[in-house]
Amino acid sequence: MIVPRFMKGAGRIGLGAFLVFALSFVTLLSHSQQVNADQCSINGRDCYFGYFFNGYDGGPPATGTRHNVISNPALLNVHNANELINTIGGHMNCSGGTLLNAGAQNATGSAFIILTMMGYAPGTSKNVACQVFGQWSERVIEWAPYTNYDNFYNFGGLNTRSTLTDVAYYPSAQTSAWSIVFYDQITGAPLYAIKKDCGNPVGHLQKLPDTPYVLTPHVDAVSPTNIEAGSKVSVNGSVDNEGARVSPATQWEITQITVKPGKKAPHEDENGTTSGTAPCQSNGGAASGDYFKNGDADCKNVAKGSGSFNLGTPAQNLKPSVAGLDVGDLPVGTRVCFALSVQPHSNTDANWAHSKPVCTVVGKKPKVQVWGGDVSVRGKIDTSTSVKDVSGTTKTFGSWVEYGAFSVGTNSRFASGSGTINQTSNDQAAWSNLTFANKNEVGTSAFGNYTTPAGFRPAPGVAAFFGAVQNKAPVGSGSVDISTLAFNTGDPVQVRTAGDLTITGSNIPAGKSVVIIATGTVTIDGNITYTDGALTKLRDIPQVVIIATNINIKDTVTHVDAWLVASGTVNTCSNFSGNLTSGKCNGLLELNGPIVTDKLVLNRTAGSDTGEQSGDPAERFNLRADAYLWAQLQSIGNNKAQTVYSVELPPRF
Amino acid sequence: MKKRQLIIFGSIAVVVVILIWVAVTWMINLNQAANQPQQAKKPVQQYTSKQQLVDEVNKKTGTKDYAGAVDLIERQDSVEDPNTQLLLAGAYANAGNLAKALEIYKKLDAAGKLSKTEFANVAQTAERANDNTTALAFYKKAKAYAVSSKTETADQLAVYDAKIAELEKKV
Repeated sequence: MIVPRFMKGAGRIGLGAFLVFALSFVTLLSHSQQVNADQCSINGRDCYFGYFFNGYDGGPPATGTRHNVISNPALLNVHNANELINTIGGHMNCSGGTLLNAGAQNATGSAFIILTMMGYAPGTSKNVACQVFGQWSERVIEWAPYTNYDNFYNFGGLNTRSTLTDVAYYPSAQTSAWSIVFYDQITGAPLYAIKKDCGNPVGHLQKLPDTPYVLTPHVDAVSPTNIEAGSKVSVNGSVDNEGARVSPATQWEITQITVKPGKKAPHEDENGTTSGTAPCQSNGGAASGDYFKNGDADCKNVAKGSGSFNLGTPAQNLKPSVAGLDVGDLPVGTRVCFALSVQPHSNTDANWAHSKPVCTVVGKKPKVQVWGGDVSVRGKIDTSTSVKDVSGTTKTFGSWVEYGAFSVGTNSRFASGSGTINQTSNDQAAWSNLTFANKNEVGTSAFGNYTTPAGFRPAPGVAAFFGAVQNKAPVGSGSVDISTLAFNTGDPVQVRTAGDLTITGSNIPAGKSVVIIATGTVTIDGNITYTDGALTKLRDIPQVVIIATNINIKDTVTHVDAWLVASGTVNTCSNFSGNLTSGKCNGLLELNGPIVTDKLVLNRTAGSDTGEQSGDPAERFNLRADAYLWAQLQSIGNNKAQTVYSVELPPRF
Repeated sequence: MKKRQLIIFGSIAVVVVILIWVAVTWMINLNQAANQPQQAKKPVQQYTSKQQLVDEVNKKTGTKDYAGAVDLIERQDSVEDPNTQLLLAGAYANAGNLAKALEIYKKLDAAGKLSKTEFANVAQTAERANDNTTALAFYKKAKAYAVSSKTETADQLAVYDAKIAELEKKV
């Protein structure tokens, strides 16, 4: 063995050190591009050095141990985003975030494409490609409008190739090829390209940036705005998408928040929030968490879905909503709120975005019932109905008169012929058989507008009749128990006159009657009742007639057996302060006798409860037979019965 | 020379002169017509760097301005350069005019100016144009070049083999 002189005496160890030095020198010479960055370094690795492991692939020529990034037919059959995702995904055997076939050519190539397209630095584990595959898929779809899947692309000769377990960049003589090219959305400059016949990413490989989008949900409307227990409501929401692209598939949920009376819903005072907590798990809401639930508020999911929101404030293509939602049998005063939530909130925030809850209060629509007579109104009749689900049946509850409803103006939602008792139809025509009129000139359903004011039936002349009585005596002013003002029924009527008068509770015994004519306001401060004893003849019938400018009935009064005749107003609950609420005037008022008034103020809030009691009235006016018989007795006393009005009516079928 | 012969030759000479005059006039008009639209167009930037021209063409392609890419290349002073012609062929292909792209490739090939590295591109362009005969011929050329030059992977040879087998059934 010839040994260089300076190695003399070094023996075998010295020779080995020389060989190692020499090999290292040769390697440095041949890989000089590793020291001075070459054209491939624009992609983060020097030419011929693997992306994953930085190993040298042998350099040119290409044949031998080098392969295409994806084997034949590579991406020749890829023409759109989904085909690219399916082709790349089909090469990777991922399990639990691990690439199980990491040594395979196509798995390696697919991981390389995913990671470089997502901007991961050289040296990133192939497993990461499995972990971000979903994000990459979304990115490819997001970029589809800016991707040409069959483009003749001049990539300049910077190519890639595979060693089966790694992918390296290399300079290629070929500078252009049919490729899949992702272009910058604004400038049109190519960002990333893959040669179709080999699956080789080519040219300067730049990350496809995640285009921003931000979603902000809103509840726009809850209708109707006034609800009752068991009401059906519609909730309309919308989502603002402020960004630069359509959102990916986004889940949305509408949550009903039921809040105790007087309390606030969670986050009601915040103008939209974001959180990792889902809105409400109850009734099928997403896990996990109950963002809209606390000690004062319960929640449940009432609608959910998934979709992409277009750009817009709000996005016009998808507006989450729910209709015909039964709020449930809730106590009056309960606050019912709705919130819309979407997830993910934005391209950079996977949290939920929650809208500000929009709330309404469960109230009631008090009803009135008129028994034993008609309702005749020179203006409009304007009432409301409640549609509720009662034991699985949708029912309509409303105010009604037992017989006819006559009005010069329109009749809105007021039933005749007791029409809304056990009624399942919400069509007014179904419960307006004795409404005058219930057809218009051309025969279609229209309610009210019976005749002109001049042609309408005149008001009964009760005040004029008793005003003409000569036997009058003043009551005085202040409070009075009217049983002390009675005359014997059947005797000549004695009229008691007053200015303003307050009537305390009174029980009228058999055979007694009272007629009061007041020029001012009569306030009824206690129940006026007739005897409930047996009556054997006409003259036993007790009766009270109150004629005044205004008649006010206090909230504590539950029973008024009297005729009420007012040239001004009859108010069924006159003594509450502030705004009328369900907590005021909430006792049923039963009134037995006719009412003639210029204006009837129905302030009672009783009834309209839950279930079958939803139609219970706040006021019940009952024109009983005793009033007719007593009136007949007065005409007999005068030896005549005077017809003041007659009209031909159609038969009732 | 008889008088009759003189008349015949004179007539022929007059006809020839008239024909020459008509032909010259027609060519002058044709040249003017050809120049007029060019004068109406705005001048385009001339790129001395091929890479700059490629970058600009790529951007136009990225914004789907395929006609603009063709126009930009055609109005370069270097348009007759083989490399520019290849760029033009690609621009025509992207614009959907595959026939024009193939025409350019064939012209370069006929002139011996078509780089061997372009054989595969010609084949794939012809395939997209349903010109299977041309596609087959150029896939064979591409394979032959790949084998001889050792510049492509064994996988790429397999791609060419598959295409050749597929096209041989069609042609």
